[in-house]
Amino acid sequence: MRSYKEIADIVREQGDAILGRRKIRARRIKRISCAVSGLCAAVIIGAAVWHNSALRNVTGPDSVKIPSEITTETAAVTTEAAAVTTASTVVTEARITSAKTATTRTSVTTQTAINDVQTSTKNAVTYQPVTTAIPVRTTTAAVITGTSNVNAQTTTLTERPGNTSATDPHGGEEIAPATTEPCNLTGTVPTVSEITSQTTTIAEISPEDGPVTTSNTGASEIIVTTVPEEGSTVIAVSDEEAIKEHFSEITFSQRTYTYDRSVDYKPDLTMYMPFDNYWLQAVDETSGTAYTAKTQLYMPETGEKDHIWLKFDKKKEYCLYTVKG
Amino acid sequence: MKNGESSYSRFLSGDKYALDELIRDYKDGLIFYLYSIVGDIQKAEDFAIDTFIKLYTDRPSFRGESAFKTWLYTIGRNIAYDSMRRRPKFTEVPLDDAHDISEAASLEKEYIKDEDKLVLRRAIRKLKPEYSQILYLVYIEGFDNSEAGDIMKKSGKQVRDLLYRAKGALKKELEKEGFVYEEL
Repeated sequence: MRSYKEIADIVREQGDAILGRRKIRARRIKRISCAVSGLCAAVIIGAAVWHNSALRNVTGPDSVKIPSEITTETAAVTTEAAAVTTASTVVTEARITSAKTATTRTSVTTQTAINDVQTSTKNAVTYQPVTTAIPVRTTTAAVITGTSNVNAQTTTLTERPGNTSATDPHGGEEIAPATTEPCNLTGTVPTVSEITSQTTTIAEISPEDGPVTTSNTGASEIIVTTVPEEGSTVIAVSDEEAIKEHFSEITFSQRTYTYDRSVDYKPDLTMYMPFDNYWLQAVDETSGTAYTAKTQLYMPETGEKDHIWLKFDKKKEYCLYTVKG
Repeated sequence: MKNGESSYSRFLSGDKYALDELIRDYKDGLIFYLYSIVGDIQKAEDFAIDTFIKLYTDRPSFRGESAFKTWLYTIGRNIAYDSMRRRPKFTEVPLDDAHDISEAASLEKEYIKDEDKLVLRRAIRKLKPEYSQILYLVYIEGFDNSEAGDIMKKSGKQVRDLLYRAKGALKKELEKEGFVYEEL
């Protein structure tokens, strides 16, 4: 039997070995548990990021903004929006001013346009002396000159002030200079003939710039446009007399047609010309029906050019002119 | 007994040499007690070493509900039973190890100085392990019935019945050898 010292040494040796194995085992368990915990945490965070669209947009540290910066940026955006609103208001006012002063642009331009018309149109056109353009608000009672280049297939309307009998509540008011463009009408019209018209229009403009009643005066209007042999075209017309004279003679393929007023045209049909000269409004006073459409004049089929029709809204048709004799 | 408790307290406090004192004081008695259980002095010594290793590594707390020697013998008994439960019941012993029996007898002679007790121990060794345990604990180690019951996980009545039957078996054994032990 061993002595107590030998047994004590054996106990201490085997006990230390057991404790060492336990330490190694505990360390291994701790390491494995930490690794597994880390993997689980990574999986959970990854799944959270994958299912969270807000976190997915975060691309880097630069995209992270502190709340104070966000507040400042919002304020800046608001200020910018206010500035934009102000600018828009200014632009709108300028456009309004431009529209109201469209008839008072320049006399020089009008004179130039008239010279062009004199040299290009077939019919003689008489012009009244052009008054000096005054930078004040006037009405649309103006001499309107329209020129059309056949080759370019464009229609140009040029206005110059003339004698007016209309009263304008804004008359005499000085208007700030505004840059306006000439009244150019550009359309894709087939080239057939040249039409020259001389009209005089006096319009009474309501304060709201609404429809005006036109009547014939001594002023002249020249409309040079192109009328197709087939189909329809859109031209700027002022009133029935202008249309009548406008379509008095039209040449189609070396043959000249002379038109007269249509028998179907109702004498009680009152036409209105809007301020922008683009639309023609008519009111049938008998039925009270109002029509609004572009002055769509269209010709019949080829070879039967004995009528010129005025069509409103593709529904109501009026035969304006027939071939004379 | 108080020395064992204080030595173990010092060991728990970090005094590694206090375990040497425990081994020195309780080694022999624990080995012979375990020898009464397993019937092999080498195994008893191994189990005793395992008992002290358990104190060294696990540092079980001693609550003082019994004597330290009783608590220590209980730990040794549990370890011996657990080991015997795991190991095969019968093991082959080489012939070269046959001298261990005589060695065990000589060791008993060293541990049990009293000649009568020595004769008694020889007779006890021939009894059933359960009788051997209770007789060793009561008549060799000097435990009372309750302490012997704590070690053997038996109640007082069971200890008394077991002790009664063990004494009868020992008396018959001593009478076979021509001895008459008066205290029985």
